Amino acid sequence: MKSARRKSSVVPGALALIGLLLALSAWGLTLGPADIGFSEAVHWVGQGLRARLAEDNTRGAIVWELRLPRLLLAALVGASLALAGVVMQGIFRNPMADPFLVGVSGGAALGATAATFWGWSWALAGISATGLFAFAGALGVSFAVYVLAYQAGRVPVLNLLLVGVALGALCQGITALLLRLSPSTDVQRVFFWLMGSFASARWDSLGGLAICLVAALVWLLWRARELDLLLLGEEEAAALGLHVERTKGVLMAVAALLAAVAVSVSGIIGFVGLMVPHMVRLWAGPKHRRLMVLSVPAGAVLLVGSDLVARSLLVSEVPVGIITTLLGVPFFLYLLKRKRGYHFS
Amino acid sequence: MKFNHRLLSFVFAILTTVGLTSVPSLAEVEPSSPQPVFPLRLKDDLGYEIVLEAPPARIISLAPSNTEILCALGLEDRLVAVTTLCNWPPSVRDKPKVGGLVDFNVEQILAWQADFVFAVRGNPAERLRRLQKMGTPVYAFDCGRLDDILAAIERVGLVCGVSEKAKVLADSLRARVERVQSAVAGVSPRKRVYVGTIRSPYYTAGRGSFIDEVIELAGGDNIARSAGSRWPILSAEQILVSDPQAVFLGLDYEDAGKMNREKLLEPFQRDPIWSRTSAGRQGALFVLDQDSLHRPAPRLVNMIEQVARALYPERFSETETRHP
Repeated sequence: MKSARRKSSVVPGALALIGLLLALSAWGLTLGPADIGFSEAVHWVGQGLRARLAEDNTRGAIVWELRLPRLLLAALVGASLALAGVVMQGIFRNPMADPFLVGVSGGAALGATAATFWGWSWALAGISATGLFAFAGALGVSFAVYVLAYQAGRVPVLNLLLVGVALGALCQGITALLLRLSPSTDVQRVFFWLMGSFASARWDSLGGLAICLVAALVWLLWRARELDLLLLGEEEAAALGLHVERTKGVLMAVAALLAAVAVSVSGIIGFVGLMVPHMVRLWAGPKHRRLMVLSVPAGAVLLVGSDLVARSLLVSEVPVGIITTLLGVPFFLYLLKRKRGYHFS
Repeated sequence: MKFNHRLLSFVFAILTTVGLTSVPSLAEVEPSSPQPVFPLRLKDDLGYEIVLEAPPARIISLAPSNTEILCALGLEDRLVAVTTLCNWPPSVRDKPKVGGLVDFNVEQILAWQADFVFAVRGNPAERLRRLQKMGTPVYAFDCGRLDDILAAIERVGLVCGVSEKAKVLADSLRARVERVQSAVAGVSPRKRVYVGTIRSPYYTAGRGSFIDEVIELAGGDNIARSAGSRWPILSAEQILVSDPQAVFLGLDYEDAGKMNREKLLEPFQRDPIWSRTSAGRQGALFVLDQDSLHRPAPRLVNMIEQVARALYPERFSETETRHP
């Protein structure tokens, strides 16, 4: 009975979140030091869509090349991190799991710092050298964690966690050493990057992430049943005919890839991937298809909203990661307190 | 109060150009006796008092700005050791190193038997106090504005027994700033200026930084003035809205030497943000030496001159002497 009610509330829930996302985006288009109202902003978006914006049109550029890509990037990153968080928590059956668990954030930070340390400033397909090295570091370290956790034909979850923590600490150590050796201006740049920001959003940095997100979402919705089986416990899942190790490996690769792409274009924005799946689970229960359908728009709403706050707080740019933590944690604690008897599965 | 001071100096600068000279300038707040009497009792910028029996002979500098001031006063021979960040004048690179601004080695300072330490506010206070307790006099500066730098120069002169020389240096720096101010006096409208990184994140300097004062003294308006912090990060939109007419990029001394401006100018003018600003359209990108720009030391005056000349070349005659 209860689950029937829940099932029916998923679609309206998702639609409500998408509506909220659109409302926040509409507000975001008008927010900024340049005084541009909603109808003017819509006009420029229309012109931009028809590629009719003149080169020297500053107001048009502010809407079409700064505000809109920034909103889209925040939404894509929020959705990707939330989705990756759902998958990681499913694999690890652990409420502390997040997309950065298996070395993604440590590897990304190390890659970004190394790129800055050696002074690479080129860009490829709209993604800076810092972003590409962050991506490579994130995937490389995740892969290393997986390989090192491998033991007699299996990859026990406990091993993954421990190796992830150990390699994360190693990356942190090397990152700190590189920062110590580099001049202060580089340190500032890396610090800003590590806190996460959408300030550098550009149209050409959106494509890769959008493709990855859509592909991952479709594929994961199709395989959501396997995540549900994993929740029963690995032995039970195997008894029910699931190829546990292969499933875990593939799912982890997808989640790490998604998180790595998100990190490469926005820096390390913590807590979204941890918090959003929990918030959705509190409301919609542990079934993965439902979790995914709701977590994707919820993650987008959280980051778009946080970035709006980051943009309006000061004239100076505030890293959005600070805002997600400051806004999200109290709300998350409130939800936890209110809902008694929260069960992970 | 500070504003009034600046207003006054501005008025004086105008008076000087009209010929009504011999008006004492404002920065001479500290009347320094030409011949200091030892023992000397002094309070530093952090409020700690020292008593000095004789001018020190073995000095340690705990900041690049202190090193630059000491060397400008011809005291390089008395300098026993400097920080790893000290690189000006180039000859100090060969001096023994005591560590960085924060992680300097107290034991090493004692081992070198230094008899005086010039510190700054950025050094950890607890380590400075420990040095002092162990018998090494410590004198710390906290320079927020150009006037503080001139006062610091005179203070170093007093401590080291070279007051005359310090006064001459401070006066000449003051005179150079006043020359710039009289050259740019009355420019209207003042040019809008951005000093900072030219790639996102746009780190720049706001109110209360030396850079902000440099821009103002050079006759420009800092577009990051209202950004609410000393070292703000501007958004691309903020840059487009405030439309800077001149952009100054701080680079390391060596990079600045290697990097020719034309090489930077081409990507600058193609950049999606800068190409939409007046500075981008007019190619008004200038390179400054980052160290000179960030240190409360005599070379800051070079920056004021360079920024003013870049902004208003027509107000500076070609024959006027250029300071290196």
